[in-house]
Amino acid sequence: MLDVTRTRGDFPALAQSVHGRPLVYLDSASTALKPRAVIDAVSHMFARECANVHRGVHALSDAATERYEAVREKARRFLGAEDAREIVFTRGATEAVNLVAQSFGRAGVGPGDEVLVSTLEHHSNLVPWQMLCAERGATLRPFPLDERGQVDLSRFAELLSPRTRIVAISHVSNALGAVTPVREVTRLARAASPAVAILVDGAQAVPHLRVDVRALDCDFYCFSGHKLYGPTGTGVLYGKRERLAAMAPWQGGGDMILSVSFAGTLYAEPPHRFEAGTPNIAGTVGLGAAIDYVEALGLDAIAAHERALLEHGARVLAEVPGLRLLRPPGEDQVAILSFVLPGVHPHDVGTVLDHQGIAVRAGHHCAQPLMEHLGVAGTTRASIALYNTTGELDALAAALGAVVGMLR
Amino acid sequence: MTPALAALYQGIVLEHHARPRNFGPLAACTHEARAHNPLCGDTVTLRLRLDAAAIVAAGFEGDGCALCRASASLLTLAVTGRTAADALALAAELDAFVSPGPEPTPEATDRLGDLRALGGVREVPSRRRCATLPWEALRAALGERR
Repeated sequence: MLDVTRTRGDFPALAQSVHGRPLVYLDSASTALKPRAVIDAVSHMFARECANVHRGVHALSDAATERYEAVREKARRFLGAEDAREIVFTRGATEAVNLVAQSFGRAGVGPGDEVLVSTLEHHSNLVPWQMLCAERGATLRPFPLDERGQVDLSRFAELLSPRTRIVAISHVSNALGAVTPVREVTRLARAASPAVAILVDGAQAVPHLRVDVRALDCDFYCFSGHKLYGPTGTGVLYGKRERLAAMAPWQGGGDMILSVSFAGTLYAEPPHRFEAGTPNIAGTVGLGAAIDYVEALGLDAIAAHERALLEHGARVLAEVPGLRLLRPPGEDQVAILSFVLPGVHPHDVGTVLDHQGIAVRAGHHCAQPLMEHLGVAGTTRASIALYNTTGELDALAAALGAVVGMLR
Repeated sequence: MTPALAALYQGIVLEHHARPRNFGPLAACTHEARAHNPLCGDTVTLRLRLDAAAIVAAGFEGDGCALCRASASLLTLAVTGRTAADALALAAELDAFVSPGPEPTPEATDRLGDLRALGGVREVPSRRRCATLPWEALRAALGERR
């Protein structure tokens, strides 16, 4: 069991008031708060081991390089990957998707080929593929959802063909919290198109459930550090070794080369081939501290705590007059309560809640095709993290009662 | 309710939100424009009927929050009977009123009439554009170059 009172003490941001009320932070799916261990790790890299990596001949650079590369091993273990060379550091999940689209996609997708993305995607796992398809003369096909907002596997299977080169799917929907059937998606895709590459956007998954990229059998898996209690501007792309080895660099610069001359340049092996320039050293070390933090608490304990909160939240929100929860908790649901209040715009809900110290997200959640599928312009989203409490969800429900009284 | 919240959702705003004026299509419309806020997905379509230089009727449609809806509703009342140039001058005055910067003079505030009820967004930057979106549509409809 998670000792939430103790855990909350690890997050300095929780000890503040907003508009004169104690902060109730229910927007962790946007960005999670940071534990002291992460803040200290970042601060240490600037205060002490402040040096560039992979270049120095001095002690500080050696220390920084060692710490930075140790995070690669942590991320490997965290994702269940085979080899630390399968871990590429990026600015976040968005950059990871763009890296794959620009490097793997430009070489591997041609006229007449097809890229499949689910209808529930965040724009970050949609727009890069749209750009790629426009450039390469390929076709982008959205695969449909059922009425619960879950991937419809039989209709997905119908869209597959030997022309399917890439399938891109979120592990967890950012707007609804639906856990998608990634394992079935990869199995069906590989059966229909042997050359297919599957990218899984795990930005909303890694804080809430244990990931095993080998069990999922995906080619690429990515996530952002800042949603995992780490610093902004950090992220991880996992790529199967043979995939990364066959890919050209997407950005040129220092640190990604073996040798450079005007006659030609030899590129470094993965993962450094994809990490041009001085990386976000302190941030990445902070991400390592975040992985350590989450693993010390235990993902199973975190998941159990969040599951109890999700079910409690669904119960108390059901008491709010007129409130419609877009996806009641089920087996395939994590950490997100997305709802509409008929007659009240999500932005007004968000503002009124904010003035009671409650932070939520309101709007289309960068998932406009999903909103269209659900027939709503936007929703209010309360997202749950390891530091939230049932009392905070009670406060949310009570405040929503006031919103209804005021605006409807 | 905090004072900032009370300033944001004043009686006039809530009343226009609940019962928007001139909502719906406008017959014999001569000018039309749509404004969109990609941040929240709100849209306002504003329609005007001009007779010579004067706005003789205004209407709006769209999907927006209480502030956006109230602002659009108040806009249709405020610009009807004005010349296009006069309506654009009012748009500029409203912009100054809701934006950070020097406090508007009492005379300028008086000229805004009921539009003063939108002043709460001055202190809430994330909601400022909710109030100004219909006025963007007005500028576009009247072809103002900015």
